[in-house]
Amino acid sequence: MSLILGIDTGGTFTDIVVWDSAQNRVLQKAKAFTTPHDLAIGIKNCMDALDLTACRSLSAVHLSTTLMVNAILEDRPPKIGILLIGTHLSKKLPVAVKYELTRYRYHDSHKRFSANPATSRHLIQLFDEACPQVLVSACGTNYQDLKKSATIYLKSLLRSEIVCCSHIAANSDFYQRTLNAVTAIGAIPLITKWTASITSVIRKHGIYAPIRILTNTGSLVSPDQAIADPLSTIMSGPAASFIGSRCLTKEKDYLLLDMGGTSLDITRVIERNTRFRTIDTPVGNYAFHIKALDLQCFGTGGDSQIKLNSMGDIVVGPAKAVPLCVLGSQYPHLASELDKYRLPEGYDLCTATETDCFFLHQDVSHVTLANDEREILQLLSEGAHSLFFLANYFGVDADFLHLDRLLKKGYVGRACLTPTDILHAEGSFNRWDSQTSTVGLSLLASRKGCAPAEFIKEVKTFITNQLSFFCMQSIASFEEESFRFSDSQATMYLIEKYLHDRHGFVTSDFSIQKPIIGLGAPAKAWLPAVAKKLHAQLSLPEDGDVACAIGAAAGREE
Amino acid sequence: MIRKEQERASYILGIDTGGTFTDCVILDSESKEIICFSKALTTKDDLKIGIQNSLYGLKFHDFEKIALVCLSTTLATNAIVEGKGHKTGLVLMGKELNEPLPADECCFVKGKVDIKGVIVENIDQKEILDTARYLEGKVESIAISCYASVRNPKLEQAVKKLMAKATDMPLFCAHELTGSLGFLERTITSALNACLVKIIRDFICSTESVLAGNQIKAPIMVVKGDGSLMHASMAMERPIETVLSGPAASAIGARHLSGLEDALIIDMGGTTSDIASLHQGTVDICPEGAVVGGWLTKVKAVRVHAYGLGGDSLIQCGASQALTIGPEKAEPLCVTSTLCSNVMEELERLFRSCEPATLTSVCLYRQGNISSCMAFSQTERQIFEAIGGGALCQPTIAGLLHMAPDALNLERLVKTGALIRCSITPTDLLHAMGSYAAFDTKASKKGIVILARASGFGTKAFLRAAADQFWKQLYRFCLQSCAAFEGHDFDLSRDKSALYLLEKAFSQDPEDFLLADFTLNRPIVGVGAPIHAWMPKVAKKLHAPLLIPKYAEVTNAIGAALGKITQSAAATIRPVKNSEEFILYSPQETLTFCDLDHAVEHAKKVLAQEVKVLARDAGGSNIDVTVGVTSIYTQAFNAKKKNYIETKIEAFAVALPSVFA
Repeated sequence: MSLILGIDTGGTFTDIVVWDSAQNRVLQKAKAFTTPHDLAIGIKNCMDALDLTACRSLSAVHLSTTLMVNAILEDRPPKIGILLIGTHLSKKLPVAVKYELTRYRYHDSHKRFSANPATSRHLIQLFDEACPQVLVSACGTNYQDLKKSATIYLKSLLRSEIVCCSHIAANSDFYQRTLNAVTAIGAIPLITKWTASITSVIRKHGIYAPIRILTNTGSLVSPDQAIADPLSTIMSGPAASFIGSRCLTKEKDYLLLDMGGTSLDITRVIERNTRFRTIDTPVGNYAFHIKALDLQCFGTGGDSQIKLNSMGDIVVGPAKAVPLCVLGSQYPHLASELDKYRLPEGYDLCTATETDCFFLHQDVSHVTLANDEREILQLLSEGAHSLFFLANYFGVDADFLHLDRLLKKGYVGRACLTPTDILHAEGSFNRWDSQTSTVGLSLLASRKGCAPAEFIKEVKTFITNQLSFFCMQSIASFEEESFRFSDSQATMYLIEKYLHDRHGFVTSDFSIQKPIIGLGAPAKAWLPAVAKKLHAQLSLPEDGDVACAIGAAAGREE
Repeated sequence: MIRKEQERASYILGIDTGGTFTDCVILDSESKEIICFSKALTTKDDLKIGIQNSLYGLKFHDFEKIALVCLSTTLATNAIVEGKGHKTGLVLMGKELNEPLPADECCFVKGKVDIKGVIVENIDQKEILDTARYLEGKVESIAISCYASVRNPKLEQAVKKLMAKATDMPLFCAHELTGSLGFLERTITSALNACLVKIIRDFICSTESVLAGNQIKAPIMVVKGDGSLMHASMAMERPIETVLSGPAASAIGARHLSGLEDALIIDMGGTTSDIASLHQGTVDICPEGAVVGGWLTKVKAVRVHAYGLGGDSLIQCGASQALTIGPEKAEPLCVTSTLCSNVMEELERLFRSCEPATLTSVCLYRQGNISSCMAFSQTERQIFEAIGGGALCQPTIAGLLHMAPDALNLERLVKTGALIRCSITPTDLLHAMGSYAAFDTKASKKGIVILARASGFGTKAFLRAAADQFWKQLYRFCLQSCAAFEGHDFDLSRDKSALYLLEKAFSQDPEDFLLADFTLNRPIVGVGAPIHAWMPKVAKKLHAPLLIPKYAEVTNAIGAALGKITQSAAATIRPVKNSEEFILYSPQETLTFCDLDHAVEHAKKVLAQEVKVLARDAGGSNIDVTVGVTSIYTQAFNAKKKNYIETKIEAFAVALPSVFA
């Protein structure tokens, strides 16, 4: 009997399965919240839920994660500085500090790096405090010597760790090479911490089987290999989900829908296979030139914001927020606060939504702030508050609360009504605090002028239509690559005739002729209506909630 | 009793002169029953021959009992679309226009009227006479357009009077054609009117002479673009009004033949397929004026969407077997073969001589007519002469002129109508497939074999692919026009992602991940000669019931014969700023009311009276008046409120030609 422990560390949940690789079945599974500040806690909670007597004969421990992708998506640059030699880069890089030395030209390649005292002082000022690590990158291979001498010089100048770009990534395009190098440096501590947490927890459970990490293309590497090439594992989550789906269905051709809190990921599977391609894989604000699963990613998930636009129509996503029920379960006073402080009669909100609540996201003791910002943070440090409570407390219009910068910088987080709250309000899901969801729902419903039940129905229709549209768009993208339906007025007309307008000269109908396999926690709640709308056969596999952990376990060494 | 009725019986003769066929139909004027009909090829060099052939084909003998003759034609529309109108001069006053105008010569002269109708600057008599002399010989007709002439037509009238002394060319004033503001559109309308005058006068005179020769002495009326009738004498002055009379007549005919109140009417002709919408028994009209050949005019016409796909569309096959059908047209090879004896021989020569890979279409050329005013080069005249009475392919013509085939430029000759291009068309496909056999099938088959070989198809595969392409284009066009009727102006054929969805819907491949399907929620009434062959499959794919009425091939002529006289008038009510009052702007007066309802009631009464008088003046009786009221609101920013903008009141009168009163 060959047993493998599969561990998937997702943004919300950590899943673990005991996988029987000979018989392709799950023997045990467990789920716990991921604890980002100390991953070991979540992993331990999960391990504790398993019956470990069976785990003694484990032959391997396989891991997958979305931690790196989430770090990029959240776009809070790690404390890395970068020194660019020879050119100017206008495209964005995920770094804290950037310094460009453009005075070196092509014919300077033989020169040694030198800096006058003023530049040296400036470099110390820039990098020494803010960046424990500084990357040196130069445009073109002819700068090798210059780069090396700059690295040596900086090493003598700064206390920071100095990394030379070519040591990490050898890619042709300068921007890509630099982006990859920066991302890799940011990812290394994440991978190190993550694997160390897991190792420490499983060792305590007496597990000494070798640890392997699933790569972007579904193969397995050791933690050392992963640290040597961190980019090869940043898309391990989607690869795990694809391999997991293959273990859970016998279908040959299918559309795989993995629905999480932040997004819906769609993969097309033909003959039990899918494409792994080296393309510019978009992750958040960046595009990585890596070989990865051919995946279409859409910004609607359980945590999408639900709003009313200026015409009073419901809009869901693509922006995310913490669900009210989640924040409410942490701060029980929120439900009554939302209910008490309401939108003043005749006041039209410009940017905010009446269900908005705010909470302190991270420690801000070291940052410089305006006075009013400091007051808000002071108040929030004692507990989360609703928009109108804050407006009332500070005696200003809700639109004039200075929250934008705080939100942008990530000091403050926003919660509002989300699809997860809709499920709580209607009672089909009750993991968190339904009361806060119900109050939030009634606020938006009363602005729209309809009953809460009606509002729930409309949100569901909106989401069903949107997800159906994403399915259609993803198939087109897999087949044709270059177009987006929403860019074409004509196409949107044809699709509108399917989604909304059923009374015109023309109506249209779309079907997906292959089965849909739905994975992820919100799949059960949202996908049946989508499958019905698209006349598709839907299967929600029994162990679909731990598909990624299964996928990790079922990954094979190359 | 029966005999007496028969003696009293009177008939209407409907004649439709299309680009390909001239159709005649005889209707009983009482029962509107169709007595007989006929079809003959239109003879562009001399319309009289085609009309006579068609009349003869009726095999009808009681010509003296014909009480009314109604004409419809696509000659005006085709002339504008193909740019084959006559040379036109345009005299502009008051404001220079920078936009392109449909005239060959534009002259800006002194003279200015302001928007209130006050003459600000007078005309210079000498300048006008000089202009007339300058235009003499350069153009064949002149349009005169002055800024704000609908507010004061005196300058236009004065220029017309002066110019008439210096030239015999037909002269037209813009204010005579339309009473509404819009200098650019009014100018375009008058220029197009001028360029069509000879074509329409020739058409009406030809018809009159054929009718006289057949002892038909009934009054002649011509269908207007909105489907109503006008006297032939008026049509000669306002030829632009006959634009789109073909589609209008066909829509009216289709409504009569189908008995439907709501439908899409598709008329498939030789050059184009036209779609009109029938809604609650009336054919949709373009309120903002018809667009013809890309020109926005002030002509009231049916809202019709024309698409360059018909029996005479040119079929080409480019690289990697990419088939295209239309929008260019060609004479079907099967038809050419009945007109020129050497077609088979010439095709055989082309078959033997051509390099297969270089051929994208199979074209022969035969003589059309060289218009007197057209200046052709020496070479062009030589080409024309060399072709003589036969139909020749490009290499043969080049050989006769000792030129390289690639150096031979026939485009201009074809565009001006001096040469007629003959090629493989959907009509030839039907002949080759054996579903239609009116002309020479052998020529169709031969042409198709040549193009199939050149593009690497087997003959059967080529036929299948070409037919599929026709269906696809027709399918797309049906959806395109539905979107257009709903007010969208995008072009499905230029949109990659829309074409992707259409392909999914058309092919219905069970192995595809994504399947699309479009349903047309109106019945389709199909008319026109090739409709039987092409429409059923497309209607089925669109899940729409298809009705191809009996007499579908002569619907235009029937629609012409059913024409009525209609008149309309409109008024607007607007709120007065910062007051509770309302102003009524009607054609006769401007009045202020304290109450919106009173204003509406007054407007309804006045307009009803107005249109009744207009209809009687136009020669109508049994006048039926309807008045419609529409109020316009805009959505306020705060989603629940609405802002009142204005109310429009429109009155329509429908009357029968008084011959039958």
